[in-house]
Amino acid sequence: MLETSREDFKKEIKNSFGGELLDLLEKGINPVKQSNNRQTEYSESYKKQIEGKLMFFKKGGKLIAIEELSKKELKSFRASKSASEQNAKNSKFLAYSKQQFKDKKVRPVNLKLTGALHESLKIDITRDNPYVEFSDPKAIYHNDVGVGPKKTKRRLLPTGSGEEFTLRLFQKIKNALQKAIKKNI
Amino acid sequence: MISKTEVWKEIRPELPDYLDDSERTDLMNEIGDYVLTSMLDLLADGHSPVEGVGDLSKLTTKYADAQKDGDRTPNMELGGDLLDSLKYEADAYGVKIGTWEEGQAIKAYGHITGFKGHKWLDGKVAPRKILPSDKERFVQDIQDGIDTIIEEFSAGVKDNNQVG
Repeated sequence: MLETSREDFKKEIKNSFGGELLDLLEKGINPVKQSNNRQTEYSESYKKQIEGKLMFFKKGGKLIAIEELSKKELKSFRASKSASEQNAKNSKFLAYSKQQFKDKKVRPVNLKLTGALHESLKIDITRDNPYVEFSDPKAIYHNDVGVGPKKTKRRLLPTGSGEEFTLRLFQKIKNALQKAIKKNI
Repeated sequence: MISKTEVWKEIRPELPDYLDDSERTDLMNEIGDYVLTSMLDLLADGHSPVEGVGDLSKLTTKYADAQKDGDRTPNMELGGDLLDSLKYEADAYGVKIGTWEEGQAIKAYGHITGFKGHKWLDGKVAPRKILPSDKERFVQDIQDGIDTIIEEFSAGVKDNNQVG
């Protein structure tokens, strides 16, 4: 590929393909071709956190959701705190939750809280092939490892053998290539 | 087919004779994936995927304030179950896009018809066409996309056959 075509392809693919990929992710649409075209919904506990309905406290240095305590543990937790202490802790958590999740909604499942994951999208061309990456460390967990006890995957990129981008994204790559070549003929 | 138990739209395009059944099924799956992604994309922005409809009716202020932080864009996404249930089913002759889950089909039926026959919502909720009926088509952009997929897929098969 000519150097000028390569540069045009890079520019074009960043704008059209990159824009489309982020747009689909923002809307909770799975960019990887498979039978489920939508991202798997968030876990019940995460949904409650987003809605400010779930309280956590520290137990052995680990954050535990109050709902995860057994009845006995809950009784002992309540007994160990005065009502005012519990209320103060509740308000502090709710304020924290409200701040942390202020722009976050339960739907769509857009994998966006701070925006760092989406902003880490990098698109380049190596040896005439487009190269797409999310450099944020969370990406590999969402995409390949899975998160939470159920190891739920929410896909960002096709990384498995035989996997492909959904056709709309594939067409963006193809159109970008055609446009770049046409421009330089 | 728009009923209380299943809601789907079938696309049965004319395909070149030289495609065998397996190739036709692959092509229909490609079309299904493309149409469903495009539909979800339009619905997320409050647009109908049905030709001639345009934007879906805005949510009432009262409902939007209560359920959507005041956002009146009807993205069909409250719990998300209805959109999650949308699927496509392809064979060698066509592809159906819709929902076959009873609980979701009745919801889709309600939205499309404006809750026709519902005890207290009939006539009170604006119809929101989230899927074309038998007599309707998908928007031109989706139709054009389908034509391109067929053209390119068929050309690819033809080339391979000639090389082989």
